[in-house]
Amino acid sequence: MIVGIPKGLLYYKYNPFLFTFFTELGANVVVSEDTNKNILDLGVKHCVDEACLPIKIFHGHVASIKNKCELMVIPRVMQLEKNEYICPKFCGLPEMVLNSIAGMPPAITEPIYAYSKNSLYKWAKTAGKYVTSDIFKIRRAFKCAYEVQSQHRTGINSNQHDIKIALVGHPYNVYDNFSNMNLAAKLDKLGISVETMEFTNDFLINMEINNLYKRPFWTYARENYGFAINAVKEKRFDGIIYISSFNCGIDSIIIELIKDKIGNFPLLILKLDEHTGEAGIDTRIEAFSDMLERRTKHESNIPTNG
Amino acid sequence: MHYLGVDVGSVSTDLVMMDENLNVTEKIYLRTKGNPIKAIQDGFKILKNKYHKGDIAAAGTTGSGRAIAASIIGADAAKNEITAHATAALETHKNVRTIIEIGGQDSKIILLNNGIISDFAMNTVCAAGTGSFLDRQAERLDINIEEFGEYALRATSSVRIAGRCAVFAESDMIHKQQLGYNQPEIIRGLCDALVRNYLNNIAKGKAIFPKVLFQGGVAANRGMKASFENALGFEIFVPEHYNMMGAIGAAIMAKFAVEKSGKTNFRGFELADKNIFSRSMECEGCSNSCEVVKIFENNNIIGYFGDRCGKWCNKLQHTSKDLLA
Amino acid sequence: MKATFPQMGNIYIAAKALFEGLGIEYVIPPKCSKTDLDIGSLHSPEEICLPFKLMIGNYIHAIEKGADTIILAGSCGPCRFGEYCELQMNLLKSMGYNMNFIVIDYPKDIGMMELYRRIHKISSESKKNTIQKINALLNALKVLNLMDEIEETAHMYAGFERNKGECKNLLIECKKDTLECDNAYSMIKIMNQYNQKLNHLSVDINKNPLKIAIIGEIYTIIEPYSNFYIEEKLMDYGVSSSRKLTPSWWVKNAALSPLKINSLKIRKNAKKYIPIGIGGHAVECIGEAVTASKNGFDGAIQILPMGCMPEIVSKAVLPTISKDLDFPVMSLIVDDMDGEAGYITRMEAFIDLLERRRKNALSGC
Repeated sequence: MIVGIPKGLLYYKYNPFLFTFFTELGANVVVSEDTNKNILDLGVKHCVDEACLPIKIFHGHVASIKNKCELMVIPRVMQLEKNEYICPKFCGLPEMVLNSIAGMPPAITEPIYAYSKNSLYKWAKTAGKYVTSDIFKIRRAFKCAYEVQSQHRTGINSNQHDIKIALVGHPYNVYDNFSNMNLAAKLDKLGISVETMEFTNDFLINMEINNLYKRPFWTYARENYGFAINAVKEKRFDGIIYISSFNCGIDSIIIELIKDKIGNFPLLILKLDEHTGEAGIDTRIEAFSDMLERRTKHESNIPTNG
Repeated sequence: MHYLGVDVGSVSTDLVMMDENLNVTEKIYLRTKGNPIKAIQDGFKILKNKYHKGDIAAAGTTGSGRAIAASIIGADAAKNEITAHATAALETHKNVRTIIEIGGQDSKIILLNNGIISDFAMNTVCAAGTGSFLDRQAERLDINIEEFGEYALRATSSVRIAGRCAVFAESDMIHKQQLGYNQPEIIRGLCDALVRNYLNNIAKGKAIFPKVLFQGGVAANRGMKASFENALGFEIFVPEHYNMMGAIGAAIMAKFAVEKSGKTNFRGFELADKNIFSRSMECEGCSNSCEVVKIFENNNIIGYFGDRCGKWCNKLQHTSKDLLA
Repeated sequence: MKATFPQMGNIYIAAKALFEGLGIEYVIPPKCSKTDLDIGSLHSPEEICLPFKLMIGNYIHAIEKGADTIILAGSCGPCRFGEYCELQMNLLKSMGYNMNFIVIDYPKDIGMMELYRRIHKISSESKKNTIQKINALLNALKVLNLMDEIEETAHMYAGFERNKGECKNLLIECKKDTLECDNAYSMIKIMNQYNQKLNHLSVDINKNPLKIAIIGEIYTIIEPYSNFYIEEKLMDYGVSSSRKLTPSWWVKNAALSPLKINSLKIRKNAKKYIPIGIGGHAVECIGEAVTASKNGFDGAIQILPMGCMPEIVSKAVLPTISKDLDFPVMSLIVDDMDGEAGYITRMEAFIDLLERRRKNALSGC
């Protein structure tokens, strides 16, 4: 049995779990290549036009390996936390893919509720049956995969420069270096260190949420908002870069809430779309970096007590 | 006997005359310039020297200004441009399966099966890939739009240019120019991008079968035709009157309508010299506050538009709504 | 307190009945228009969906008329509508308006106590006794149901009427006369009269008109301004149309959803294409398309605001349904409400397409 795992969306967070689980079940796992021009083109070609870039890229990954595997994993991630969602498109991801790409192999489309080990195991049981009927094998593979996943750490935290920004955004925008055009490396060249939300304590993130009228019902909205607002208070950050996909419904709300709260703290919003123009991104981050440098110089001339 | 077709679009107003055998005897292309009434009158000024009212067996209108045009000239049919384009294409190519139409400001795809429209799509939101966008790029590159396509054919390779949005495409082209790509490569890249955009956007998920007709003003651009053929993998055809297909369809549909009704409503070419103008007012009949447009001829009102309840339209004998039904 | 609420289809008629019954001062915002959208677009986040922008316009117009409290329904996701209240509060505050917001949210999200507290905020303004308050609520629901029923009948009969335009005129007159009443009882009386008139309309049952289902995102199919008055236009063309998502359906659906016995048929029909709820009304959209095809409709028109997350999923699924059931579906994406001509062209071409399909089927070629 050859199982295909598309390298898109939440792959960057949860690939150890998926990879280990299916490997331990005895399947051959095929992972699509890193996102590239060809995958993007495939995605744009197949996916419904109104969707956002990450969803299109995911379509491209699926299309690129659909003939190389006998079973496709399309993670229908419903919830990572109780009473929270990722996004409606995640809930309907299998429908989008299966109705847009012809000639698909069978796919695992069971909903994933990952708010507890037990709820995730429910998914593993149904998903595992596609590969093997041995329930003990499935349980062993799940245990092993769960273990590997809990050892897995994502996040960027570089400290070699004086200036540091908080890099905010959905994981697939932060970690897919094709769609974000190697943003972290670009910033490093400009002499800017980067830190992502994984290094901010959940407690601090949730503290900020309590100041909202309504608790956001999207996981990444809660995390991004809490992290960004907390970053303003942390001495180590000079600015925030929010990396967002064009037409992302969730970001359209969160960016607004952040803007509303942070006053004149430097914030740069980068919108990603399928256009190849790196020039636009370069111009923006260079200008932002100049601004941050001027600000820090300016601030260091002011006595600290005033 | 002749049939008259008028296509009032946002960019151009086209008039055609066809004889009994549906051969085009007259083609007039005018810029609408935001004043459809004047454009129609200008067209009629040209026609009235050759034809008089009795020569016209039927008159039809289409395009976004079809309703206003219909009330002014007394049309027998006022149909949407999708049906008009398909009607015209079927007249000359019975076996057409797909129509690609790219005009001044919008683009369409029409799929046919056994001479019946089975599906269609149209973009009106974004101007990427339409005639006015190409005009502007040609201007920016300082090339005559007529030669634009030839440049693309000269290129040995194509540069990838973003095509989803006119704004991105433009900034991307400028960027590629600065990187030192030559003009033919850039123009071919642009044609490829626009074709990619068309196929990924308007034609998404629609199976394009030959025979394909390429219509609308952009069909004159050989670079675009080549890019389409390249992407589709088979030859596509540009009909003789590619930029008049809407008006031709309108004339043919008017012919059918008169065959049914037995007489034409055509009001004659004297319109050209009459003082026709429009005035708008806000109707105060209810809380909808419709913006009602009145069309005057000298001092008589010959048409009303924009009232949702029909209070004004129904005052006139020939309402545009009856024509559409 | 002077209460107001966003415009959405016929809700204002029911709201009038409710506030009159409770004896609370209220402002009905003017019907949605270009100025609402202009105001909304100017102040709203750029990529937010169309309903949000129109609502902002409604609020500003209502504030000009002295409103100080905004009553708004909420939801707990996963679509953006549930976050409207938070953004709209911030937005109005930053524009310098100090408004009270009362958000009626699902109890499973905010808890029964909080919901009670919020409803109490409204009902404590009323001087009526409890029985009268309950009556006011029941009457408002009755008004809502009646209006939706009249609308449904008019849209369906429009294809069968002998005298062109009769259904549309009755519907327009009915709304006008109902709005002139100052209490729920006379409203219901008037509506019943019109309902009688509609049901005794001179119709030609042998007509067999085109039948089109209106499906998609609930706000854009209920609020006529946001869909270029599509239902009225279909009535003009003598096409019968049907739309299952109505304000009264929404109320019923919200009330039954905790018990999971809401919209069973729709969900059953959608199951093959979208097995679980994904937010918004995507499941309903798909279910409606399947139902309409089974009920002998000729086609369906999906309407959605640009960037609407759940409806983008249904838009991806609809072509498959179209193919499977040989059932034409057209999607109209609305955003800045410009380019009406383009929408009308598409609508007419769609009607043409459906008519020719029929002729083709009849002539058997």
